Amino acid sequence: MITKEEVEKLAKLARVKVPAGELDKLAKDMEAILGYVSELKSAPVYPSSGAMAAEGPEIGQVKNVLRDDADAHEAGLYTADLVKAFAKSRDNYLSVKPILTKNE
Amino acid sequence: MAGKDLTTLTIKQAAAKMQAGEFTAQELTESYLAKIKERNGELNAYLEVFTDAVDQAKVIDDKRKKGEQLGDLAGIPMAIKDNILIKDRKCSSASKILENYVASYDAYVIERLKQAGVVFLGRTNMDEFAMGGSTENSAFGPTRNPHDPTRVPGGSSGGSAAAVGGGTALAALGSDTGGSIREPASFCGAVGLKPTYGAVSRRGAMAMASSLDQIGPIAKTVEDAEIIFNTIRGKDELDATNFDSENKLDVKAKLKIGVPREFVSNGLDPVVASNFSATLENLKSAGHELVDIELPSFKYALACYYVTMFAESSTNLARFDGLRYGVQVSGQDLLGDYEETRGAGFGPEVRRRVILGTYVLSAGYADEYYYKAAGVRRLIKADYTRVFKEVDAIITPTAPGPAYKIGEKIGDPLAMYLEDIFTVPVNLGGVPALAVPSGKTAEGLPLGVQFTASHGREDVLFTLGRQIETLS
Repeated sequence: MITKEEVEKLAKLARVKVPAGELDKLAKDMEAILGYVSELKSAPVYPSSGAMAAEGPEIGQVKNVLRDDADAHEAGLYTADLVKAFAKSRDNYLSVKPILTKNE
Repeated sequence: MAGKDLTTLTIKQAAAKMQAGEFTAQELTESYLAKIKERNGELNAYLEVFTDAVDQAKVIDDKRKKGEQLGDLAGIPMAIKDNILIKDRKCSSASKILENYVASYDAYVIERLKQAGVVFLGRTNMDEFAMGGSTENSAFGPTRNPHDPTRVPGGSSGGSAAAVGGGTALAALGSDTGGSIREPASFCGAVGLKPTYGAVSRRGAMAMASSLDQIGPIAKTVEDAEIIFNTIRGKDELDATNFDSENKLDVKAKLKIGVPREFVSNGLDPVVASNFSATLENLKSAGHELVDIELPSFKYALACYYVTMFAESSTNLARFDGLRYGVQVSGQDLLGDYEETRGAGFGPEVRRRVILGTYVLSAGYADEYYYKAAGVRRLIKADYTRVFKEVDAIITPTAPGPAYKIGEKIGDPLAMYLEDIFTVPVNLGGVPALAVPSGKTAEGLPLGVQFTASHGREDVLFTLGRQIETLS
C-alpha cells in the first residue's frame, strides 16, 4: 500500500513538487504499477555460475567502452554556447542561490 | 510542375525525378509545406515548421545545377522528432521545462543527414521526454491519427509517424526506448525501424533510458527506411556504446521464422489476431518456414522494462534542474528552485515516472526491483541468443490492437503500459526490429507486424519487410 505521505517523501527525494490535489491519484497509480511490476519478485534471474554464465551476460555487442582519460577538445570551445542556455550566469560561471548561510 | 502534389513518391522515386530534372527540391519541399498547411492544424504532428525549409532546398538545387554528385537523400524533406538536437533550433522534447531551449550542437544523426542534403521540414510532436505510447502526454496538445483523427497516432514518436502516415513528410526520425518508433509507425500505416542497440549513435538525442534508447527511421516504405538507416548508422567516437556495424548481405531466399505462439496468444484484439494469421499464411506461401518457438522469460519483459526504464529515466532527467537549460521557476532557496522548476516544468506522466524511478532505486527497494530487473533482462537476452541459433527472425504483431481513441487510456497508466507488450523485449535484448504495415481493419485503421532479428541483422528485417509489402 502506497500512502500519500510516501508519495510526498519520494517527490521530495526526486526534487519534484507535486500539486497537493494530485497526490491521491498518484498514490493510486503507483500502487497499480508497482503491483504489476512486483511479478519480478518471483522471476528467475540469470545464473551467476555454470555454462550459461560463461556465455556472457552483455546486452549489446559493446564491451569495455571507456574513453581515454584525455582532453576531449580544446578548452573553452563550447563555453559560450553552453553558457547562453544558463538561467543566470556571471563571467562564464553558472550563478545559483547561496547554499550556505551565515550564523546570525 | 509547381502546384502538382509530389507527396506520394518514395525517396528513390523523388531522387530520380529530381536528378532527371522533372522537378526541383524546392518544388518537392513546397508540395510538403502545402500539405502541412492543409493538415497540420488538425493533426498537430509538427510543433514547429522551419521557415527556412525552402532555402535549404534551394541550396541542394544549386548544387545539382552545378553538377555536384548527390545521393538519394539530397533534397528529401524530412521531419525530426523534438528530442533530437539540430544546432541553433529549438528542441523541447515536448516539455514545458525546455519550451524555449535552443540546441547548442547537432546530433550525430543530424550531422549525417545534413551531409546527405536532407531538407528539415520541422520538429515533430511526441510524448513529453518520450514517455508514453499515444502522444497524449505532450505539453503542447495531442497529435491525431491521420487515418482517424479521433484516435491516437501511437507514441512516443507520434508526431513523426503521423507526419509520414498523413503525407506531411516524406520520412522522419524517431527514437525508440520500448517501441516508440514501431508502435506509432504501425498505428499510422508507416514502416518503423528500431536498429540494433549501438548501431546508431545516441549523441544529441535527449536521453530517456540510456541502455534502451535508439534513434531510427519512420518511412513510407521498407526501402526508404533502409536508405535512412544506412545514412545514420556508423561509428561515432562521442557515443561510447556505438560501434561500426557492417552491412551484411547474405540473406537466404527462404528464411526460418519463429512464431512465439504462447507469447502472442494473450490479449490480442480479434482483428489483429486474424490479420496476424493471414500474414503467417502469406509468408508460408512465399516459401518461408514457420516454426513455433518458446520465449519463457518474456512473460516478465514488461515488468522488467518498466523498472529499468523508470530507474534510468529518473537518473537522466535529474539534469533538468532549471539551472543549465530551459525554464527556471524561482523557489525559496536552491532546493526550492529545483522543486518548483521540476514541478511546474514536468507534466504528470514525467513526474510519475521520475518518482517511480526514485522508488525502485531507493535503499531497501533497489535489490527487489532494479537489480532483479537487471537479472531478468539477461535471461531475456539469453532467450534471444538461444532462439536465433535456430531461426533467422521472430514475428509478432506490432501492437495488441489498432489505434485507440484519444482519451481512452490516458487515465489508466497501467493499461497504457500494457500496449507495449510486443515491443519492449526488443529494447531489453538490444536486438533490431522492424514494424511493417500488414493491412487494415474494416474501418480503415492500419495494422502491422513486427520482425525481430539477431544483433546486426537489419538486412534480414529489410528482406522480410519488403516481402510483406508485396504480400499484404
